[in-house]
Amino acid sequence: MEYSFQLITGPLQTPLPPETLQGEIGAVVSFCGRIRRREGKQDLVAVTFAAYAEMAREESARIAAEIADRWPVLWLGVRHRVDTVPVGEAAVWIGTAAARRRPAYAANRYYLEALKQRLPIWKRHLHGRSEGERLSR
Amino acid sequence: MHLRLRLFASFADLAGSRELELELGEGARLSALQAALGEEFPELGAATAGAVWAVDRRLVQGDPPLRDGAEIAVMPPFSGG
Repeated sequence: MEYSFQLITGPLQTPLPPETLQGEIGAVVSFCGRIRRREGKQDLVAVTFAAYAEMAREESARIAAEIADRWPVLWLGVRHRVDTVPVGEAAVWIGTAAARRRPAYAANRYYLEALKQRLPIWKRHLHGRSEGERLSR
Repeated sequence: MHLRLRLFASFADLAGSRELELELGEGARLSALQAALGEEFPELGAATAGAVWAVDRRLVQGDPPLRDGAEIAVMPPFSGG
């Protein structure tokens, strides 16, 4: 399985499966997690992410190995931002490719759930001004 | 034994540092480190009750034995993705 993982700053550039796999791939699944404005009862303007980068890379590689053991996946590409991500922008992107759709879907979901449980990444919500303050500007 | 403790997110703020060096007796387990941390930084000790711990960049549970030179990380619950 081809695999890549990057913690990045700045807008996500979503990767594509390697050219060398193009003839073998029959299904590509991508998940994009974006920052939504509403979080609970408050509006956000952005979310700041931070990570324990060395461990995140190692743990992600272990998750990738688990995926390779469980499904015939040809490619897994992951990008996660570790900076301040404004509302509406993508914070995480997970791509999987396989000969058929089922393993591509299953691996993508597996990685996302494992990421949330096992990758040392944290977010901090940045709230906007209150409506009154916004109107008074 | 000599240990390197890395603190992340709110725990770094409570300790006033992102990294601490500690000395514990041979054969010490993670609970000994937690107790030492609580004595030195009571507020941090209380806050880490629900923390996630890693030893040499692997998640751990329970009270594993530590080795000299280990890198211990204390982290709030993860929230990536």
